[in-house]
Amino acid sequence: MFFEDISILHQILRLGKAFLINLSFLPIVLLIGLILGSVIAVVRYYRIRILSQFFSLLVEIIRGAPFLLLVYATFFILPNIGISLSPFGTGVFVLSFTSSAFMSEIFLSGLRSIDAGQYFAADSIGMNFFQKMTLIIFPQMIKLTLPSIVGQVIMTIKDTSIVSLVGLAEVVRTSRQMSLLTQNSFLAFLIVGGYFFIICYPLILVSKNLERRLSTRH
Amino acid sequence: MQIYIIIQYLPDFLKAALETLKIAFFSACIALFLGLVLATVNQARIRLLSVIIDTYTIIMRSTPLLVQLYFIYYGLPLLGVQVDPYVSSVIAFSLNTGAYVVEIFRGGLEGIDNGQFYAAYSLGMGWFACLQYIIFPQVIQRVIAPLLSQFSYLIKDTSLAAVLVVQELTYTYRNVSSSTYRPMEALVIPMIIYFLLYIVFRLASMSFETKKASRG
Repeated sequence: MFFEDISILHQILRLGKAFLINLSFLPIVLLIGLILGSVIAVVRYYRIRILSQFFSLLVEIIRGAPFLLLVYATFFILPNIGISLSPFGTGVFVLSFTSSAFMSEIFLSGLRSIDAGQYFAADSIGMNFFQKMTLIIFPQMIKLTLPSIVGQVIMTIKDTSIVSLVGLAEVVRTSRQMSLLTQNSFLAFLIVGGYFFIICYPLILVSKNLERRLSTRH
Repeated sequence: MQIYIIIQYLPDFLKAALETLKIAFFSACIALFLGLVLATVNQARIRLLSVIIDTYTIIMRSTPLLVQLYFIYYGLPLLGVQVDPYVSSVIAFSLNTGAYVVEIFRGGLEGIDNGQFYAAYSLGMGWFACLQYIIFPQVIQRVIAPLLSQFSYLIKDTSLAAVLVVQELTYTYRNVSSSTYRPMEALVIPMIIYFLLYIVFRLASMSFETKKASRG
């Protein structure tokens, strides 16, 4: 009803605009994931009582649940306790939650692979906890875990597609509507796949490259 | 919490869990077969085949599973192939997991010293015999832990079959939660089932990991 004739160029442009919604999740989800993930990792590294066990359980539960189920659960349960989130808000919530869980797992393994001498050395020159973490430990940890962090970013980008299932008009949902309109689902999904490919494939290469550089240095 | 809702729908959830397992099992078998064959073919270093296999794994790994699922379900009929939701989700999951399995086997094969091949050839073994008797027994030890963890992802991914109205766990969750208006209660059983499946695979994977580590 909107357009009689939907040209390929038109589809590409419209889907491109919709894909920006997918990408707009990234900055906030990544920021929350990095901050919360590193806090949880530090708590678990130092085995702070109760909090550590609580986080470990939470992380395992999130890792064990399908992303779609988490999205559905968030979207349908939160209104029951008086929080009404838009589809985009749901996406931000679930993506940040899962991203924090996976990031904490990555950071924890990073923290553990740093030699204990580094911790002792920082203590012995009188650094406080905050200085030790920000100046000595984290810079090394980030370097070690960078390939996995990039992998996590790829996963987040791909997972944004699933938020379409609670009504977010992002690229996959738009392509579904478009394919119903044009009767050509092949083309619409091909374009969507293309957009994800353009972003994800270079990231896969970056992650592989970083991994190779890490392994040759050691 | 209203426990009776949980009890009332327990049979439905168990039936759905069986469906989830069935989809995961078929997809895992096909993916394993696909991954094994493609990784072996890749090992033969025939230029054109390697390019095709690489393209396949790259595309599968850099596009979302949901798009692949839609592509197969809505795209195949345009090619004149009618597929029902069940079959198309199994196809999508096995193609997707297959790509990761290829990578796992490739990693396992690359970890094996070329000398092994030369030694086998020098004994007069052919390529296939060499793979069968010398290479694969070593590869299997290396790949079993990553394969198990890949299959634990597969079980979670099967939840996307709910989109095509396959009546597995996630679909049943959605159904129960909207017909009872109790999303919280409806969540308990599927969450537990998914979690148990995940834990089983994770522990199995970890036990193989530590065995490998202790063996050196």
